[in-house]
Amino acid sequence: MKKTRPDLSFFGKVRELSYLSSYINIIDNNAAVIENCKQIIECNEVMAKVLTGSFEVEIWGSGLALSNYCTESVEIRGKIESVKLVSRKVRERE
Amino acid sequence: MIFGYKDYIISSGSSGSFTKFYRAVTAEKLPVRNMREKDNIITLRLSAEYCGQLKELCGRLGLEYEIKKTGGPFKIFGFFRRRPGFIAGGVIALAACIYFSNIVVRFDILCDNKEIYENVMNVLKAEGIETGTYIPNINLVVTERALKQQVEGISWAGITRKGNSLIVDVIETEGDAEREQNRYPSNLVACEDGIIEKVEVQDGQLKLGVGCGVTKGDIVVSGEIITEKSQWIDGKENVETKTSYARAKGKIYGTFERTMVFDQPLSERTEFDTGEKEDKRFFSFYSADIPLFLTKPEGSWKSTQSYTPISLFGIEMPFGITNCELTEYDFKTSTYSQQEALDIAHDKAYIYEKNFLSGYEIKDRQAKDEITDEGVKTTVTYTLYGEMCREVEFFIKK
Repeated sequence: MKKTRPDLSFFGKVRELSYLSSYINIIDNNAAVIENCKQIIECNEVMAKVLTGSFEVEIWGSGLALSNYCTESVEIRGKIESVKLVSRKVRERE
Repeated sequence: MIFGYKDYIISSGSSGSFTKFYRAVTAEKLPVRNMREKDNIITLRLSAEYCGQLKELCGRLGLEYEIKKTGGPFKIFGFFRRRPGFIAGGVIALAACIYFSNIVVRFDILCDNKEIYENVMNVLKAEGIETGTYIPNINLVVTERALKQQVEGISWAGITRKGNSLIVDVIETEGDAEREQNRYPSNLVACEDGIIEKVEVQDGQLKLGVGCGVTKGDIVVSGEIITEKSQWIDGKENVETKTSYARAKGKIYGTFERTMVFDQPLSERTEFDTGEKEDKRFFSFYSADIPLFLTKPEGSWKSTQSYTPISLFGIEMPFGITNCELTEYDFKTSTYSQQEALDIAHDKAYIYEKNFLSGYEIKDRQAKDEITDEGVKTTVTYTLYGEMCREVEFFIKK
């Protein structure tokens, strides 16, 4: 019998309870607020890429602009077309 | 962005990459706004308080930066720095506000009686309170006391400050004063030497009847009424005396003589109009009169004032123009001939009769002129018929 991993691990639960997870709030296609952002990697008119605790978040669109109002939160404004999440583990493996 | 903001253009220069810049922005927690990379240039907006940090960062990473636009209070500061007149105007306006809020600009006297109003204003002036007086220096308690003591016809006065206005509230004592006086008994006392011809007594005890001669100070009607009641007890007369007090009222008519002397020197200093007239205008703001002229006229002038309020859409504003018509006068020494001096003395007698003897019947008039080196003297002896007593209050002896 193949052993399946649980949907939410112990560490995953701890991360969630201690608010270490990344919260991404998308308002229509006008803005996206990403909390627990660790680093800004790129920000141009068509793509904004930021690094959170577990993921690399890529936001694609047009006329994008990044604002960093408060600690570890960024807001991306513009016309958002897609949001791509790439696990940091996968990225490091690549 | 309390301190304003600056829009930056940052170019990568030789490095060609902004990776380090992004990392540094995140690491140093710079609150950038609208950051966007295009054609190897980053545009961003940053609060002014972080500008030094960004400069230091760009210098460290070898990036070139340029300030494109400045906004917020910085811009306002720059605007005013180029226009010092605005700052001067603001300072002057502020100083004027502070000054005018601490000086008396307006008096509100809550009284309809014009005479009391003028008396209150005179007492305030005597106490040193005028338009422009520094309000914190005014001792309201002392001023209220002065008003109560010096202004006739009021029983109470209160002063309150409202902004730059002084509100003087007074209570008139027309009825109260009358009632208070009536509590004292009084006599009718002769104020002329003469003979009583007619008596009308309403209250009090008549002491002297018709036909009696009186001299000044004689009590004709007494307010002290003494009544005696006689009783015979065991063959002995027992007299009981009772004293009551009243306010003597009545009219005592009689004939009396009055002698008046009217003199006129042959040379005297008199006032005359020079014919010079001038109009001066003031801008009246509440009780304050601001002169609209630079030079003060020299000499002695009589003035007649007229106030024209400024109306806006039919509403009368609390400011206007006061026009002051000045007429110059001077003094000169006039010399009269004996006849002219006599005429003037006779005129004085005539004016006296008009003003002071209108309430009497002049039965006889004997005039005698005397001429001396210094002037003329007219002695007129009047024989008058009329009221010859006045009311004099007295205190009851205990």
